[in-house]
Amino acid sequence: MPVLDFEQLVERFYMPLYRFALSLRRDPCDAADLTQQTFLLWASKGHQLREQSKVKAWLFTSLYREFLRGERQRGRECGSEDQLSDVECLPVAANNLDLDAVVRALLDLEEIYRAPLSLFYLQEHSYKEIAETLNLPVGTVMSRISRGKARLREQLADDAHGTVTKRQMA
Amino acid sequence: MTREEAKRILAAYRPGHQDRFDSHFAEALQQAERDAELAQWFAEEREFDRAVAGHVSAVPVPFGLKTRILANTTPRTDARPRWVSALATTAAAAATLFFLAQLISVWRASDQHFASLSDYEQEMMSFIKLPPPLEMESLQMAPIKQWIVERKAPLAEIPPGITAVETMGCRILYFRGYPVTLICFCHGQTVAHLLMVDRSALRGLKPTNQPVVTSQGDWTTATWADQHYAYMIAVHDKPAAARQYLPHT
Repeated sequence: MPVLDFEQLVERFYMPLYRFALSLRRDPCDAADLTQQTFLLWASKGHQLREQSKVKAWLFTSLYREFLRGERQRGRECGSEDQLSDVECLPVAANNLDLDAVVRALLDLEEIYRAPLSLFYLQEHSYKEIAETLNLPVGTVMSRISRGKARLREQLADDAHGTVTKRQMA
Repeated sequence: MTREEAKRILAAYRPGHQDRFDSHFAEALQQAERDAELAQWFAEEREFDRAVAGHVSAVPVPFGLKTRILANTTPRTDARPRWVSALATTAAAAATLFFLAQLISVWRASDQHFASLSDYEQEMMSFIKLPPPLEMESLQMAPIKQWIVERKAPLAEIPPGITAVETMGCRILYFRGYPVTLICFCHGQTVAHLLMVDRSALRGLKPTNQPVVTSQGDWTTATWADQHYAYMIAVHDKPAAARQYLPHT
């Protein structure tokens, strides 16, 4: 990866970082703040990173850690798979998906699925990089992507059939 | 490897072609070539993934977020020997000045590069809606003015309606390379904003005594210009509330 100056770095990463932040925080203003905070961290600590190839991993990992830190301060903890039951893979026609429905369904997922699935669909990260970013074993990431997709299909199928989701009810 | 294990692995295969050389997928991909049902499932999975990935990459990013990040963040640079830094700085400054001079001469030759008032309004509004931290805070206008003058940022006569209310502070933003002075002042329980920029930053903006008042959702903006500056007031309120701050009412 070529050496990027700060403006190039922002230009290259602010959009995927914002989209990842939005998937975590589920609020555009909070997501913008989290993105900004990530670049502030880079501005103060990024110069310590010697390998340019790790800039992307550094930014996404820092954003995720900031998110977790914020959640801890709010007294929220991320769930685990144990609390969740298996879901069936429901058929959803890919060509009938619309942006709002996809985003809504993605944001409705539990955080443990939302984070790896968002990174997966941003297409910036391999499963190994997702594992590094989220500090999870590779096998766990694969399971969460697989089960997350099943849940996403379920949400989309519910949405297509007009089922009210938990989040809409809240 | 069972079909279910292969599915679990292939589910992490990205919708593009980035993973085709990853050895981790090799066995599952080979199995999909032999197993028609698995192949069918994988084809549908990839189609679904491509559709979702397309939508995820189309999620809109707030207009002005990049400007906000750049305006609020000054990166620390690596520590290097002083003579290296000095030499690099001098060379970079000389090169930058040269290219800047070239760029400005070309840029100014054609006004098609200049932004419209609408561009300016949109960009400033997106900035204001994600409230930028103030660089200078004061409850009085005099120290704010002094701070602005010291930085040679745009400063014109402040409309009387604004001088009458309590200020909060100010900062300098940038629009297409032009400095924009932002002064924040109290409007009831909310913050109102006055922005001033060199009129030449905005294509075709003529001096006018009559502010143009526009509603943008819950916000109201008012813009006008004199010989030197373009002004914009943004209030999170109805148009009637913004009019009290205008110069000619």
